[in-house]
Amino acid sequence: MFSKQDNKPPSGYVRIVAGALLLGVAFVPQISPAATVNELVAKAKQEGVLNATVTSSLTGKTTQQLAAAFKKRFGLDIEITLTPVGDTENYPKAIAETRTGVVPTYDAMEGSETHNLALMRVGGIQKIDDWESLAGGINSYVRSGKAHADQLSPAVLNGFAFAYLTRIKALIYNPRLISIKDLPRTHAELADPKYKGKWTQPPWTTHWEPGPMVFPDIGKEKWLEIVRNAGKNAGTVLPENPGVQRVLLGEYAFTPANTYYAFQAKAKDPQAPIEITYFKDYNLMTSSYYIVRKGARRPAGATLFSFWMATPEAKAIWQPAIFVTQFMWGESELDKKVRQLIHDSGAKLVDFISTEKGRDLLAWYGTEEGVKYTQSMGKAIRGE
Amino acid sequence: MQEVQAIKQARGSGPAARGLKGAIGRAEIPNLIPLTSSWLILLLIVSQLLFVFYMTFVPGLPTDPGWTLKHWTNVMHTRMLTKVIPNTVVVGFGTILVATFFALPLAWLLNRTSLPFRNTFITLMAVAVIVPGFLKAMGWIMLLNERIGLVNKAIGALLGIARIPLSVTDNPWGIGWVMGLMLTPTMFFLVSGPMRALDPALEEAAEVAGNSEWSITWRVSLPLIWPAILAGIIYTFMTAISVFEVPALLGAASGKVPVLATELFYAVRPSGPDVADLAYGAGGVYGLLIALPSLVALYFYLRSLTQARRYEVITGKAYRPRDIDLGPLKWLGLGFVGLYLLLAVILPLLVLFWASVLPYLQMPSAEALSKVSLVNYRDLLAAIGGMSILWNTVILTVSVALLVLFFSLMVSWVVVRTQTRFAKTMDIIAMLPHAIPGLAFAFALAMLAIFVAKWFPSVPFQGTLGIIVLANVITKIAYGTRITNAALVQVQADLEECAQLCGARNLTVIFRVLMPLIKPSLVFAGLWTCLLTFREVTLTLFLAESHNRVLAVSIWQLWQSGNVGTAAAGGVIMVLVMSVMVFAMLKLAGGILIEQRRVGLTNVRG
Repeated sequence: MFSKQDNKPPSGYVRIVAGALLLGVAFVPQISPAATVNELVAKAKQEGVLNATVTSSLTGKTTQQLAAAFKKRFGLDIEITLTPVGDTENYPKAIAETRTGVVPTYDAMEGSETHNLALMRVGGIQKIDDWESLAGGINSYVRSGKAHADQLSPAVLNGFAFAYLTRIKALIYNPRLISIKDLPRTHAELADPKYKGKWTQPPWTTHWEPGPMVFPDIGKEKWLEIVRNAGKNAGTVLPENPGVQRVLLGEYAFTPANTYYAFQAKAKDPQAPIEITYFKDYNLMTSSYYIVRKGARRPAGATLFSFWMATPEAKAIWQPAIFVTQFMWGESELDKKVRQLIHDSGAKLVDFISTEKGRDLLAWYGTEEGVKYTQSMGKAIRGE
Repeated sequence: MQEVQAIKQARGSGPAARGLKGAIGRAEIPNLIPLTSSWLILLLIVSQLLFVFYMTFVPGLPTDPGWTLKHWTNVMHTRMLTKVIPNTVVVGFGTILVATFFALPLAWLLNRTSLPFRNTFITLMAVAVIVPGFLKAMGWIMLLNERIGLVNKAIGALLGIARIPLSVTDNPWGIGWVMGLMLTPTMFFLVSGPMRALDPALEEAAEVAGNSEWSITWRVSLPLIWPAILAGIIYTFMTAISVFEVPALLGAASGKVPVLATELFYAVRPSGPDVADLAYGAGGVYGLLIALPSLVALYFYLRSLTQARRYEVITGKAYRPRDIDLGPLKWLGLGFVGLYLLLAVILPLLVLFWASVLPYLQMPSAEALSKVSLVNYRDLLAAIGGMSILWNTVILTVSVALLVLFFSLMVSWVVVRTQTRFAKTMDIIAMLPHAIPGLAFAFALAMLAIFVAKWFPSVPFQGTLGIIVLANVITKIAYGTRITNAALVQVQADLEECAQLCGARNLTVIFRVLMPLIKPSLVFAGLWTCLLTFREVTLTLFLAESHNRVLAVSIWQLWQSGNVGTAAAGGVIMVLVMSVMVFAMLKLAGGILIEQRRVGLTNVRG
């Protein structure tokens, strides 16, 4: 079509294409991250108030610091109420609010993936369009590429919920009562008679839930039997914090629990008789996510806050108070230390969100059959 | 007497109203306030109970379509009959045994004898209530435990045995022991008011008849306050079988000693904290199951009230409460009081203080002593959420106490003084909220708040202190009415009839004749309601939002998040503040009692 010397397209053609492109650009509603953030800030100023939850372990002093830092970051002069509340108490109420069509109590909330999936199913979460740009505009971890989009808002929660911290479960033990080499290496070994009565476990099923995903050949019923045998072998059943305290007291030698309890105790007293070891078969990793409630009174402030809580400046405030990490992308000393510990131990981390198998299992746990299975698992933990 | 009869005739057949119908008649306008107030609170209770019951047949939320029996069928399993109910009964009766063993002698010693330091001891009894149950349980684990118990180690060292198989954990009697010590103040305060108001003329008459002091106490004093004792026993039993935290920490959560309260927890959250949809209906089923034995107990209590006149000890004639001089036996009395205070107050307080000065909870040792510091007290106010939390707590406790006193007095007056045919029903309704675990009411009220927000968006209810006040009034009215019932039963109706004869209206009679006569009971009821509200966690936690948070919730959250030291420091401050308040109130109550003795009776006699 074009001769060699006519290699350049005709100027008229260029003009048309360029014009079309310009026209296209003009009609695509793309706004630069900075502009979007600025728009949100302007709207948040108009809203004047923000009502959000924070994890229940954040005490009054830390919440005040968080509110002040958030306002400073965006130049906001608004009234902020950050309420420490457990997602266990809060999400059922949020689900009831959504299902009855009531205006949400909180504009932004934080909770586990399970809670958020449940709230998402009833339509209680506002989807944030173009959230990657926003995250990039607010969070330097995202801008620098350290935190990936699929880590911040994984497929199943894409655009609805935004991770800000990660909890890892492992085995917490009292080195004065048992040495690391004598500890059980796998979950199944918890049923070994030599540990009879020496340990405590929490009543919830979270620790045991990944079993069918990690050991697909064993079968769900066989796994349940393992849980039951371990349940009969445990000294008692206690929620994680009281369980860790009984390990510290010297009553029990070890307990499966979130590792931050050990970091917390060590931060208060480096000589505290408590150590962490990871199971060789699997260690469950769960994340907490911020969401904006659908129908929230102040969606702009809530959106800003939801993304801001994952930033390094926010983490510098909440992490020293609760000792939870941003395992996947964090750069703090604690983040690095935990990554190193896991690397050195060769521990296998699993979660329900990042793999197809995990998502399938999580979805199955939400079915009637799955609910019955977890109920049986709850009983098996108590040795029934 | 003829004139009194005339009043009775004019009113139908008694000193007050005969039923609602009579009450709203023209001649009974003055009864309108007591009756209306009583029915208002009772209807509220009934509506909440019906809602809880309704929820047991609903698959999820009340708006969900369809009906289900699954909540009922799920709990009807063999284990319930062979393990859960027997354990619950043992824990309930074990608690009553321990609480009665301590509470009755303590109430007598501290209210009717000349034992020294009585106000200080009563203050310490009240302090025992403030120390959170979970810390008491932890304290007893540190004392009596096969592996780490300090008592076990001491006995073991003494006998040269390595392991002493004595433990409060994993057995229902151990749970009953800890709960009994914990609930002794409950029974003590329930019995104290009527005990203080006993008319010594009856005892003096027995003395003249040649009975010894012990015989008089056993055969005259105790039978006279039987309704209060029975109320105390029933109330303690009902509390014991619905408390969750203590049995859970002492082994009930493990499935080794399952009780109804721990089963309720697992029924509501079958898979733990990651379940987003609560099983509201299952909570209701367990709530009703827990209520059943309480209803049986309530039947016997009401039977005893049918002979109310037998227990009238405050009459218009020569009513002069007096203190019994113990003589040299006061040392024995002091020893008994000391033993209880050591077991139930001093040891838990020591554990509380010990926990508050350590970085983490640990057994006493030289190493632990080297770590003692006051760091947990630093920034405590900020840690619990600032002044607004304290202010909310003051508003909550004071308003609940006043409302409970008002409604209790109104209900009791209608139940005890009028001959309305609904009296028994009203009393049962007033008692019912205590039989149902607070969590079930919290569910019901949380739902109510959501519907109020939907239908009346301008009405501030959800997330306000008002909803927590209401929840506490509903659940504490049972306690209030036990005290006011017992107190009113002791006051002879002649006194009110005399006032009516002089032209006083019913409200005037209640506020100017009855209330001064039963002021000690009212002060105890108010004080106790304050304390119960102050330390209430389960209800408050579920209804707490941004602006209605109170101290107990903050301290619970500190404990739950692993900040045991800070939580304990908060507990120590709570104990100190409340001790001062209790002491001041007891001084006031003492003053009231003295004033009543000096002035009130002169008026009655005159």
